[in-house]
Amino acid sequence: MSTENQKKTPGKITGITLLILFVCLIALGVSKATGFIESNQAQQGFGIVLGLILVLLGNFLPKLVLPLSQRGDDPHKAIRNERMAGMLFVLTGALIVSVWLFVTQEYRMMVSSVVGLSVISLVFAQWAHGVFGGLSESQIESKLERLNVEIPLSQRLAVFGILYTLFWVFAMFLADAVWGDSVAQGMVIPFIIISAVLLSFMTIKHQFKR
Amino acid sequence: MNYAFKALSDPTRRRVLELLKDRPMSAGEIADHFEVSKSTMSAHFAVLREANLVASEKDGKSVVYQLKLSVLEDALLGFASVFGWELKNTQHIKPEQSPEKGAKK
Repeated sequence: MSTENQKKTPGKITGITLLILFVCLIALGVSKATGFIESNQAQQGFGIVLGLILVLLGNFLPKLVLPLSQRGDDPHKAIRNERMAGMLFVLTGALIVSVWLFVTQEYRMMVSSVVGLSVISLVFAQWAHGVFGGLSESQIESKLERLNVEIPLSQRLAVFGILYTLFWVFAMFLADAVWGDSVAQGMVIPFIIISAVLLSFMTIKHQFKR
Repeated sequence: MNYAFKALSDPTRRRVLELLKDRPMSAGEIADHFEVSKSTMSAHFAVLREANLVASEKDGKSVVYQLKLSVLEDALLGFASVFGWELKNTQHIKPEQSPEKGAKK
């Protein structure tokens, strides 16, 4: 099988909007650092932007369709799961925005991080099970090879990267809410190390494909 | 987004999308649900592809379609089907046909 409309890139608007949201995050950080806004306001703005990023990614996710040959034994179930994941992210993002707008300050961080972490973990687990569940190591290897050949790697990597980063941000939020700011700041180091390991693993894999 | 609105404004194309919600289908299987010519169906498929609402794959001689709706487009489809953009001419859509019957062909 070969996909006919691989060349289309549905992610342009999503990409531009994400870029604007990332600029907002940087602007919030700079405003806080320069004393233009209070720390609480910056935190609230940060939480709202994170929720919006999740809404945006969730909306875009079902557009990243895999060729049917990569759907496994039950394509219907796989497609349904992907659509469900998209909807779940949109609803979670909306919920997180609402939490940062309407819930009292002391619970915002805890509630939004628990919700965000739970949903992203659930979807990651479901993806891993859907793609690799019940396969041997060699079957996984050949499946990854075919995936890299048949659909653009960049968009999938971008979405995975942003979701992975959001996962860590929510984990840092939770650590901040439970143990305090110093522990949350300390989590930056494992984030960088694990990211570097993941990135090098993916790069090596990609080089082998060529 | 204009392409999406244009694609969703037609009842036949909406019905195609609803059919694809069940499972990916070949062009022939989808066409079995409608009483229109092949060229008309091809035009509908072209509009849906142009709007990026479906993805198509060649499987031997047939073309298999699967949904490519964002969550917003999915909501718009639901909205269009339930509230607005009502069918003005539904005579070309077969009243009721089970997917299994279509799949046999």
